[in-house]
Amino acid sequence: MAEHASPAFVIKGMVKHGSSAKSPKVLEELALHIGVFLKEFGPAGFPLQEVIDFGVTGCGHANKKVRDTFIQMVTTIYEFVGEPIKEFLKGVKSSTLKVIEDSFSKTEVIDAKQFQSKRQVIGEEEESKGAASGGFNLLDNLPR
Amino acid sequence: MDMLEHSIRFMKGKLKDYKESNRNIVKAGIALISKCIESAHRVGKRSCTLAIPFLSEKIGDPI
Repeated sequence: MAEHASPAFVIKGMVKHGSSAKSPKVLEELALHIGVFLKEFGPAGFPLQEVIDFGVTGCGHANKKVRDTFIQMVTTIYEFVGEPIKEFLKGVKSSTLKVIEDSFSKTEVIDAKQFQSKRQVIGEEEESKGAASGGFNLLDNLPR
Repeated sequence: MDMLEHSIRFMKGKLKDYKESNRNIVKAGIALISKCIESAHRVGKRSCTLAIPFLSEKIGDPI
């Protein structure tokens, strides 16, 4: 579906539904899939603000499995954003923040210029793909 | 309204606004959506808007 109607559109729909979902299994799977989307489609057009807000909410979940999955998702975002992501994690509890920082220290930040997306939106031209995946800064997706 | 949107809308009605509890019917619904989207030449955002809540809700269900 994301190949037809941009991953950003699908992620926004997932986040919208996920913020009202209560089942831990649903939250877990949503976080997992958002991470996969980011890895496969790359940072171009990724709705960073919505996903981080969703991630902050998820990191405070009572269920440990859900928290771990959300931490994994935030770590995937960190791979693309780097240190500036820490500014957005102010709403997270200090104990969870420690775990997140531990996870960050084990992760290497991907150079945006070298990243090549595995999948792309159907109909998107090769030129725009090159512009989108190579050298794209995820922080540009934040609303001004 | 394109063909896909129409089909999903019809399916939504048949699945009692996605509140269907029979697992086999839900499974068939998911299979229908994935089959349609895989074979479609173009998938509109309206169709996605209709399908995403259903798929997000069932994403955590065991197979």
